[in-house]
Amino acid sequence: MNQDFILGRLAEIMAWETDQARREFAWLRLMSQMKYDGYQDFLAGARFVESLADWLQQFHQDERAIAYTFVRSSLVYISTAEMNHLVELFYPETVVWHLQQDVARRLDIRTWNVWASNQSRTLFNRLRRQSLFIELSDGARIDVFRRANAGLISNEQTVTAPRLNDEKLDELLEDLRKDLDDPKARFAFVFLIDDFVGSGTTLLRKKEDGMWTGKLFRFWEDNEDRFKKYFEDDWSLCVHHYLATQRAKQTTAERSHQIASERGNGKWFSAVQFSYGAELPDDLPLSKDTHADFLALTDRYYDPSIENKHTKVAGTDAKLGFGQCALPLVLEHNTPNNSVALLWADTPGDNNQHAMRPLFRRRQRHS
Amino acid sequence: MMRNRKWEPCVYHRGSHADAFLRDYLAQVGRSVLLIAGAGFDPRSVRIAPLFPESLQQATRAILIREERPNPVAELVARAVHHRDQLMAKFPLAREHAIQIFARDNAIIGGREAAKLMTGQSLDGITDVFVDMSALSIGVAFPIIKHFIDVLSTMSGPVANLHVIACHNPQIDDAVSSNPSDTVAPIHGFRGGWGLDEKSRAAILWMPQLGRGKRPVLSRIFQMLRNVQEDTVVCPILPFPSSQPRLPDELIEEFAEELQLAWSVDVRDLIYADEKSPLDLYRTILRIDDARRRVFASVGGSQIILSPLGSKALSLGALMAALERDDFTILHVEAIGYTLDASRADSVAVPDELVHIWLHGDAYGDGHGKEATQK
Repeated sequence: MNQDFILGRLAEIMAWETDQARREFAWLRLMSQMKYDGYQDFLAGARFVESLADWLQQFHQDERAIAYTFVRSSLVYISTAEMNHLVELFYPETVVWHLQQDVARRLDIRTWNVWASNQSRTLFNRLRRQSLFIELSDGARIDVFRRANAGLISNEQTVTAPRLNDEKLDELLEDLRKDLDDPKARFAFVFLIDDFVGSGTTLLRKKEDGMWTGKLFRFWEDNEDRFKKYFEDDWSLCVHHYLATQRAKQTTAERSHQIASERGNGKWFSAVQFSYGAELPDDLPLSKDTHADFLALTDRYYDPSIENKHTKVAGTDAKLGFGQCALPLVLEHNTPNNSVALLWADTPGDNNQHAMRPLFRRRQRHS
Repeated sequence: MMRNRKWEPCVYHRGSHADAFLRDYLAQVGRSVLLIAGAGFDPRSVRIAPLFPESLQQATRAILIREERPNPVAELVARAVHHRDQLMAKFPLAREHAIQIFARDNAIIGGREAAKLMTGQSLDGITDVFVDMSALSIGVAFPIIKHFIDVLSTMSGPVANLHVIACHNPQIDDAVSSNPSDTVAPIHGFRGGWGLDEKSRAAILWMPQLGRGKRPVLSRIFQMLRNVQEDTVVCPILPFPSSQPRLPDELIEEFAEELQLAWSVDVRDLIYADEKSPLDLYRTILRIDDARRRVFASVGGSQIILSPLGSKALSLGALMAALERDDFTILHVEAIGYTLDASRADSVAVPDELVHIWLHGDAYGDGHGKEATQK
């Protein structure tokens, strides 16, 4: 499609004067090309600029500048290249560090001496092979992880679903023992991987009835009877997210501590280490101090029909996104539900409410 | 197939791990340190001094470098003197050395002078050399680090360890702006294949590190490259992940004209490098070089040109890549002078983070400078 046509329409929608239109067109062309057109849910002929035109039209004329300014100056969009880069960083920046610490512990040497002797290097290589990499969702991009680490991590160390079964684990263990030429070898590390954690609720939370739930709890429940057979006695669990909010980082640490002390020895992992490829800053969530005008729009143009049993888990409405996280965040493969609903919600408006139009339509996924 | 790399694996630390390592390591009995650091206006000049135990402070040979540029701003000189006095108080054996960055004819001589100064330093009895580049310009710091790499790599018997420290704080970087000179030139010791007959037909790939306010300097370097080879390919480096999540977008916007028109950058040629990890950029540059060497082997070869003008941590990654492949060229525009937004620098709220890289010595060998077999 000729982009000039839709830009012309956008100028009308925004009532831009010629000079302003020229400036904004330059920015829109640049960012469409460099980043936003890569959003996976856009269709041919209806990519960023078209979606923006559609999104802006839901607002009154005098409110459109507020919405546009928000996109122009506050939106954080993580592109495919950026997300893949976070995947590529995982092994050299995080996995190596964990394994290096463990080699130092096992050999009782300083961590900086791990590369100084063949004995410690050999143990490092063995521990790397004794590591299992398990994705908690398809956002973990285990395929990208495999390609980035070809020759270091084998296919027999990666698992594409968090729910293991004996047959799969038997196969993995057999391959491990064959590779190490050690009939008694077991796994020493498990890395659970996911793309993003916004509130920490999906990973670990306590329900109203006092029972624990979440992906990490399910991993314990599904596998606690298997650990002894497949994993070394003092195996380590590491949970890695490519991207995290400060709130999730804090919540996850607190809940992990709480569940460990509540359940006691033998009823929970002896130690869980959390790591993050990139941490979003504390001041990223929208607040009345920084985005009062835009938050007023999130109130005014909200349709409660987007609420469901999943959004209610975190309480209240979903205007500011799941868990009231108020994030201005878009990931190229999907918009997190922790982002403000006005960015992603798509409703028919058949309940006498405003029909919300998404800028970055979100595909629901729950596990 | 991936080639073995000198610093993969590497002993490096950042953030709280770097502080913890330095406290732990420097407290070990038997450490005897030669410290090279800038005594400049940059508040990061004095960052690592408190990590030295008092007994080691008393015994450390510190060389404090004062970079002299024409007509310095009085306030910056006063700040530099204050930092120097603080460092002198911490390290009683410290000596201050002034290095002229420009000759009378405006030729850039800072790097050569710095290397000359290091040549006169004895390493007898020294267990560890620390180069703190936090308050040194790269035109001075890079030749110093290269000097020690060259010396230590060729010494027999027990040799000193070589560590490099950089204090990373993007907010302070933003508060400092430089007034660039007119001359584009390789940093002393990092000419690489630049100007060599054997590289005259090489395909040039330029990897500029994009940073706020660096447009004029990078445009000047590109113009020079284009005069040499019209089809110079540009792969700009953007900081990601970054402490400011919108920084890559803001840099794309700031460099819009260059990316779209002058440099004709394909979106797939943008390079993302972790703002705090020198190793990330080091690996990426070498991976690209490996691929290009194969592609251009029989048609004139490949020539990588680096211009690390952004954060210290990332520039360290470019330095490591250039130290490993000695045909890389680091093209630079030296600063005639600096200005500091003092109120901004003094009100920085985000704590700075140290990056530590262990470049040579015991960490990779048997304690006598001999490196262990790589994987």
